[in-house]
Amino acid sequence: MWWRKKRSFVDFKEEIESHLAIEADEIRDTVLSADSKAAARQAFGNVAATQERWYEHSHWMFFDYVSRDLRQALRQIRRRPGFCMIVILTLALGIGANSAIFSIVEAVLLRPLPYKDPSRLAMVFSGDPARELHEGRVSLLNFADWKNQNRSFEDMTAFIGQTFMLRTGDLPERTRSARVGANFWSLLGVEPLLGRVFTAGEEQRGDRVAVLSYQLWQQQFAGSADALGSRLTMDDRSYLVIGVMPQDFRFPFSDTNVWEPITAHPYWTTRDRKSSRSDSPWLVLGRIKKGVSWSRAQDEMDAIARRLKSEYPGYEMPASIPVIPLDIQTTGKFRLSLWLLLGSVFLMLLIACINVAGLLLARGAVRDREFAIRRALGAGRLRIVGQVLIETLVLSACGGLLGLLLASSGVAAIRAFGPADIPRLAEARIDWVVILFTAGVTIFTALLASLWPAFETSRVRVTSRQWMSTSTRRVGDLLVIGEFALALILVASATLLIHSFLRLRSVELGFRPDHLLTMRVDLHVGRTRDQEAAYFEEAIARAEAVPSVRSAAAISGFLRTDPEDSVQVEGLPPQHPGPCQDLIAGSFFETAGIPLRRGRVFSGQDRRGTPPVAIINETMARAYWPGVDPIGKKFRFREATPWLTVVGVAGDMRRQGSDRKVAPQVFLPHRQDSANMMDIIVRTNSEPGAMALTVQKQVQAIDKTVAKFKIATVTQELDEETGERRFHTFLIGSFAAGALFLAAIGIYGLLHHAVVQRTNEIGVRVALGARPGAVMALVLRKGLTLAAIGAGLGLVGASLVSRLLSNLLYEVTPTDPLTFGISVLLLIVVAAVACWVPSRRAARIDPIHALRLD
Amino acid sequence: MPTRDDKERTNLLQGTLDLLILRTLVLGAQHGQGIARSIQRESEDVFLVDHGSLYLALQRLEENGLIDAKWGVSDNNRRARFYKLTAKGRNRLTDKTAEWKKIAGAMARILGAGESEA
Repeated sequence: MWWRKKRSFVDFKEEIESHLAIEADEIRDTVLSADSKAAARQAFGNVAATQERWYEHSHWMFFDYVSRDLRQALRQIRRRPGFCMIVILTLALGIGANSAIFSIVEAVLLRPLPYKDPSRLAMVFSGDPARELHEGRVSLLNFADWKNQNRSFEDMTAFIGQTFMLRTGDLPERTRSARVGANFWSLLGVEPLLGRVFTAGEEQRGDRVAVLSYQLWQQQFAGSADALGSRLTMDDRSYLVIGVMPQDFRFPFSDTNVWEPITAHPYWTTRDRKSSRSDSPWLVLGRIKKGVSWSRAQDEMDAIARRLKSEYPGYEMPASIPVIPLDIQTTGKFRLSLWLLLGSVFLMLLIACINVAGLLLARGAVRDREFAIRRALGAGRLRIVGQVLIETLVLSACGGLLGLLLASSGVAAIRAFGPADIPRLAEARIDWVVILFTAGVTIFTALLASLWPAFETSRVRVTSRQWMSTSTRRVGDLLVIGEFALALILVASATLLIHSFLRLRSVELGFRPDHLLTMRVDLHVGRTRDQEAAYFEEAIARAEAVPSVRSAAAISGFLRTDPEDSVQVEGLPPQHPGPCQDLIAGSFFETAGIPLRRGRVFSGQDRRGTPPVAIINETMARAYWPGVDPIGKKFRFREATPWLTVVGVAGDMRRQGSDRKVAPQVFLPHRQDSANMMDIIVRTNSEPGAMALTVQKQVQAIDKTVAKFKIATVTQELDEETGERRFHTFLIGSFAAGALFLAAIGIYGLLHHAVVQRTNEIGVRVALGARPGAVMALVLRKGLTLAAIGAGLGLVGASLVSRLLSNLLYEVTPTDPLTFGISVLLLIVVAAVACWVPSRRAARIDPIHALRLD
Repeated sequence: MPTRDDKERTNLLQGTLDLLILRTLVLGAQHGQGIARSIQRESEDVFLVDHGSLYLALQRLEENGLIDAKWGVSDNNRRARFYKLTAKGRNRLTDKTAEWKKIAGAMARILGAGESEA
């Protein structure tokens, strides 16, 4: 046993020698023998076998064999560096891609949120299936009722984001605070890094106290402890700094810089406390009681929703109250695509494994002599399998290490270029979990890749030298078929995604996104409605004064809008849900490039005091006044709002994301209402990106106290919107390309090997008059048959797998025949190219040379 | 790793060979060659000692603490590794001898009875 390895082998050898010497002495004394030493040896028996048995008994032979195999494996690498490099690179690619994607999945989906017992935290929303509202915000009055009436939650807290202007030196900077309740802190179970958080008493009194984010603390106070007790000026209000949160705490928004009591903001008294049940800007976080199941909490909340809805008719009330686990809510739409990414890199790894298995098999055929000799010298089948296994393990360990290097640069690239809205993506890195995962994948890969070759190789018979039997060749064929089947699944998935991406890109937007700039301007509080309206009109005029600006306009939300809860067409009962509603200023339709189908645009006459008017889109006209001219018709949103008269019909515009249906839309003149936040849009004659700065400066010159705002081209904004789709389409596309490449190498290797093996036979064929074309066809036919069988099997797999994709597809069915056809064609073309080279080689075989070989 | 065959063979011999070694060492410390020679002589050449098994058995007995080993000098001035019974080995010898006598007696009775009937 290995832990008792106290006696050395040399010592034992000495003992045997002394035995032989004593024996020889005795023989010399008793018999007259010519060679007493030889006689002693004869009497003893097999000295070597005795020593070997003793050695095996006193050593843990497993380590011995392993170390011998390791040395052997390293010798193999030295002797065949080219072969080994191919195997290592193939595996590095497969393993590296897996580690990279896994590190992202781990950071985004698997790592628990950094709060106390995060698995019981839930976001609680207003829901209304009829309005496609699943994660709607909540009104304060509803929140109070939910909190008081439920018995499933330990605690519930409401909060809201508020942008404010931070005065630092001359230029005000716009940043974000979260207005939260005092129980926010205990509910999440987080502690400040410095100082304290605020108390229930402070919340009640509405004390102006602020807890800073680590980032703001660094920026404003250079990370000094003196920050505590200092003053922070937000808008025009002075706050006492009482605490600093740890670096990674940014909840609820990724750009939260200050946490203040809900009641400290002037909105509390001017707006929030008076707001109605229909007014729903709040977010609600809850902690479910221990022992209460999610479904029970959900059922209870829905019952509360039904009760409240019947209790308060005439208000915009949620029909349901979705309770969504916080971790799922934060990662939401990325979950599916991340798991799919992991699945597709895994497929790629499988193909890499098969490839390596094929290479090893071919290599085994070359090494048949070596294995035959080993068997003849007494190596058991298990030993041979072990040897192949260890050799592969060494190769895949090299591949794994190289893969980790690839993965770390891959993760860095994804962090830099991936879509910015994937939460916690920045936390993705190669940590010990990823290293462990990589080690596991490496071992798995080695086992998988060496399973067949090890088995096949160990079957080599001592007597047969030429063991490349039909069975081995058949295994090679199966490997290539499997490879192509897997590759087809990936290629078909990627093609489906690319297809829907292209569809999405070619969607009629209904406006012209080129040569268009948008900037979001937030005036904050403290202006009258007329001042707000005047500001935006001035901004439009200034932007239009910039040379090579064609026109400018403003809208309350250019690329985002949500439907109203209800609408009532004159003479009909109210309907749910209602259309979207936006205020516009300036020549909006001309600037955006939306055609006016009927009626007129707004004029300066449409202001407060004149009859309220509206322009609707074509979808709204069709939905509410089918077959009738809507001009002059009247509608209102709720009983409390005035009747609006339709004066114009505009073309449809896709503004809720290009993958969503066009919703009914109402445009209102901003002078008949007002907004303190609008998107200014500017159509330019030249490249818009180059003009952004000039336009921004012009508008900012109106009022220095208005914070800096983001300006971007609409094309950029649209790209950002499709960023996540582009991200997973690009990655799955790359993995499919990698898989295709590996499959091509696999089939090339197999055919190349087959041609080498059959040089003799082909030589005879050529000598008997086979034309080069016929020889080529022989090889090509073989390769293409394998690829076609693989593709056929892959089609079955793809049609099963692609169903998982259906949520990511846009106007493409998961089994789109065109897409599948293209994928199969692509696969066959790649296979043909890969078969071309070995078939050329076969055709060039010189019969004399081939026959001389033997 | 010893193969399966190997194990069965040693198992078969283990009981007897171990006992014979212990018995031989009762007379005093002895080296491997001496033990082999002594077993062979005392069994009147019935047992032919396989040296490979003998040294494995010695190694095993030493590992189990039944015997001790020390390098010393033989009668004819040769360096040799001498084995000596430990207290534990002595106890084991007593137990095993009794057990063997019981088995041998029983075997003899059964075989003897069979013989007389035939």
